[in-house]
Amino acid sequence: MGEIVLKCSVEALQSFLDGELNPLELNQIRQHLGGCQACRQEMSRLRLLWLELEQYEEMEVPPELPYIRQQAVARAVAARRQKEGGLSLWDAQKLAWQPALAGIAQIPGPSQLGILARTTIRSLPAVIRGVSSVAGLINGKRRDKR
Amino acid sequence: MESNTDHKLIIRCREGEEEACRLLLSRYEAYVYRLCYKISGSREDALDFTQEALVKILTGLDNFQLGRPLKPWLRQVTVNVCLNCLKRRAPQTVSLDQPVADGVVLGDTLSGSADDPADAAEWQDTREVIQQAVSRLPPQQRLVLVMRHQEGLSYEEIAATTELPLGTVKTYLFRARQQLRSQLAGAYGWER
Repeated sequence: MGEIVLKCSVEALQSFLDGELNPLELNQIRQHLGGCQACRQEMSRLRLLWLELEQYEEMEVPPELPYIRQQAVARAVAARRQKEGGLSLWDAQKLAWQPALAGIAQIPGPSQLGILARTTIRSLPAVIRGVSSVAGLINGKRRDKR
Repeated sequence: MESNTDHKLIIRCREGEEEACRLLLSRYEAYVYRLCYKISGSREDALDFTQEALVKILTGLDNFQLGRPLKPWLRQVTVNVCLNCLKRRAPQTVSLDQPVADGVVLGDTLSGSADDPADAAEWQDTREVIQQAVSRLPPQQRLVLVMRHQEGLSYEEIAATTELPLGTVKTYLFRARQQLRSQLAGAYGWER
């Protein structure tokens, strides 16, 4: 920022007021201000703006704040419970059912159920054909009697 | 000690104790609200943002590193919430109805005799000009302005808090102040 001494810079004045200049830059801008009336005037105006901006903080706390706090606590607690509750319930379910499922798998009967089901499905068309042929025979005999 | 009390409260909050949550928020909610108000420029938005920020603070406490100062972390969470909320909303201009401070010495000198009601009205208008100009700034410029002048953060601290590049922080600050300076020039009759 060596050019501060040579030319006017509003940006440098702002940095000066912000306290963001290093010692060398600080020295340079002070020298510049010593010889530049326009920058001194601009500095005074910027100081007024700085004062205005610092006063901007004045404000009342709204009466709704306790209600908002309560709402926030309720939402946060619900979110926490949902998160924790969902996970622990799932884990508990898995833990509760795991021994039961393992025990059922050891029983010989249930392990045969799958084979029985597959066999039934495979032979189902033949069963249907058999039933329909029997029904056809019965109907034929009824017609003969008439 | 205050920090110890906060520390204990945070631990109780993490355990899901509602009373601790209420107590912790009651300490910082006014700060959070003021920050939200300054960033949003609107009372209604500030109330909405405050609730979101308070929820994020409570649900995010698990990630807070105990032993570190709480306020910068609260500021960070609040700023993130405000930025996210502002991004989701269409930009709007809202008049500020916040109370202003009592007369300032500089104001008295600039507005002439304090006994003249017209002068007093003019000074009030000047205040409003600045406040409205701040509320009309783009949200990110308003944000860095608040971080600098209200929170007293350095350029680097602003960059860290807002997650903006350092150069962008400087640019936004410069542009925002030039805009406000221009408004003041109109109010005080300076050359622009």
